[in-house]
Amino acid sequence: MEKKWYRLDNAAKIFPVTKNSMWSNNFRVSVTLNEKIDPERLQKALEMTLPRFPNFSLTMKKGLFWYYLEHREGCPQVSEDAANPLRRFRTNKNRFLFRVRYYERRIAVEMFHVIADGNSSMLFLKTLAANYLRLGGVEIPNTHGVLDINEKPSDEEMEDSYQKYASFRVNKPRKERKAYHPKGVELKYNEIKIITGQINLRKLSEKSKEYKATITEFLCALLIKCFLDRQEREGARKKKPVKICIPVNLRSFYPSKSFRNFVLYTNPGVDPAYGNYTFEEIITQVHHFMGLNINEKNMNAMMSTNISSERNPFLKLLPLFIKNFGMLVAYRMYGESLTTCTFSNIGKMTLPDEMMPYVERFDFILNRQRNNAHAVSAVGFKDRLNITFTSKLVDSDLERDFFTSLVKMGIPVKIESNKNYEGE
Amino acid sequence: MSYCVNCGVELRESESHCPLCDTKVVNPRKPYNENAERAYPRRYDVVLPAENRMMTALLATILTFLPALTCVIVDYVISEKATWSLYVAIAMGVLWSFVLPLVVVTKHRAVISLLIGTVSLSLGLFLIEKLVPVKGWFMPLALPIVVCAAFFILIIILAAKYVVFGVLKMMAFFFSFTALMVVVIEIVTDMYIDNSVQLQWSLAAFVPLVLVSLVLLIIERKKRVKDEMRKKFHI
Repeated sequence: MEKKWYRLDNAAKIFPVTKNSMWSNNFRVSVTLNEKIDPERLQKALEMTLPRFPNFSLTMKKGLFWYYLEHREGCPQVSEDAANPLRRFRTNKNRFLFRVRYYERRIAVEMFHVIADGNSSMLFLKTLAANYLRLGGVEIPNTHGVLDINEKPSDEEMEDSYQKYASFRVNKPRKERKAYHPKGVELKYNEIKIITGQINLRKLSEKSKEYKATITEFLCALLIKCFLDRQEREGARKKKPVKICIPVNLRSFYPSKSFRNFVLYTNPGVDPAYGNYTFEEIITQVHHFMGLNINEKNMNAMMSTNISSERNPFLKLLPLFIKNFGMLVAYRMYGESLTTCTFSNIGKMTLPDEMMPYVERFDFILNRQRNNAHAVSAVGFKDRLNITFTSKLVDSDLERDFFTSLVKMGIPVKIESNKNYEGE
Repeated sequence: MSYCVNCGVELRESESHCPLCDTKVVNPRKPYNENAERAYPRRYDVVLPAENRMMTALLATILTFLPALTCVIVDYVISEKATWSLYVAIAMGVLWSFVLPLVVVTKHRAVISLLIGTVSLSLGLFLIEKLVPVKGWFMPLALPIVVCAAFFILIIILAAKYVVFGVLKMMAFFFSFTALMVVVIEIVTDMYIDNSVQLQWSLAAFVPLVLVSLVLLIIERKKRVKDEMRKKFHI
């Protein structure tokens, strides 16, 4: 039987190029239940869930001109979690591009960004957790993002929505000033520091409203403030702008059902060269920047620009290894160097009422970026928002600044981490 | 619940220190419980940096063929035919055949590299015999020496890999086999020169090598001497 294959979607094209022997652009979503995970039952649940999500049964191959994704049979084995999750994905030897891990009461799905974005991976996680609970005798309906595993996957779910919705009216310039990047002693290449703060959602929402901002805007502004303070402490003579890369889910503008990537980003920030900003001024700046930039027209212009480069006949015909080199140069110019860190808020999770009593929390963790030291991610569930900092730096000053600022504003924070201390 | 006295944040029960400022948690009412469920296991995934074999192989190929090609071109430009540069090209080809299996093959690299290298070295010497004016030395002299050396090296590699020896025993094994190899080489050389065997120069190598092997084996058996040596020669 001929194996089904897919082109990489427009956003995914950069991920195999930027990955190296130490790092790949991964992220992870996890759900904590109120009972210890049984690996055999989890394996069965995974085998039930996988056929519904064709974008997970894929492996990546090299063509002469482009990478491509090819369908592969089978199901990966669930594995035990580790203190250093999100290790890089290798794409040779027909490997799967995701892994399912368990630890105590938690089920985690880690994936290479090539196959899915945060939104569709949450659908996978919810369906997997629902199937796991069903195997334990719980009745759960197929609503609130839990998909029916008996339903046949549709072609729409595997489409490249960027190609479908880009209108090609304009080419938007990508040029921006390079952003500030924190300095510090780095961890060993196989280590990653993860610090999660659990925050009371109601109090956070009230505080954001006080500043007339959304939760994402408020947290983004606070993050900018913490980076500005850090830059001040580092004592650089020439200060650079602090900009945060915020992924935007394009499904809110287009009726896309795609399970694959369909996100773009916007980079709000402030430039300390213009003077010292108060927190209120930063919030105002972020609020208006996002209002101005996150709209269908602007996103479509960005999307069209990205796809125009991909469709350029001259670039298309370049062999892959030359293209990779060119894309890496472009990534250095227009990629991470333009932003200080990424902050992705995936929103508040909902579940069918029948499932609610069995689920304690959700977590969402972005891998640290290739060059940028930090990445921040957030997900809400019930009355809590879990904000996770991943970092490659030994010091935790930024995380401390961020969470203690929230405490000073009267928002309680509960902290946990993957740090191991000697003599514990 | 415990709070960090320095940061004011609540800490998960499993945290013995505040992850933000590394201050130790001190709560007389609720001491740190090491059995509390941790946020992550203590176990680390082993992450080995991936080797880019094909890239290394390509690099090795370029590094060996580029000098060879340069020599041939220079030779051809100066004397309008390839003369001395062919020896360089043959030598580089032989070197390449030893190095490439070490880079590309994942299992039994040393053995495969030795076997392929031996074949290619023999072929190289055969070609050189064709190029030089003195003929008739390849079959009776060069080939037996190459095969015999390869055989001894193969035994040493297999011993190092599959027989568990200590360092000293392994060195003793290596020296005694080298002693034997030297003797065999003289036998082959003598047979080529005048068809009779009179061991002379090889004994000068054989005796000290065997003596060194014996000393090493004695040291290996004497624990006190071994410890003393370890102390004096530690790096």
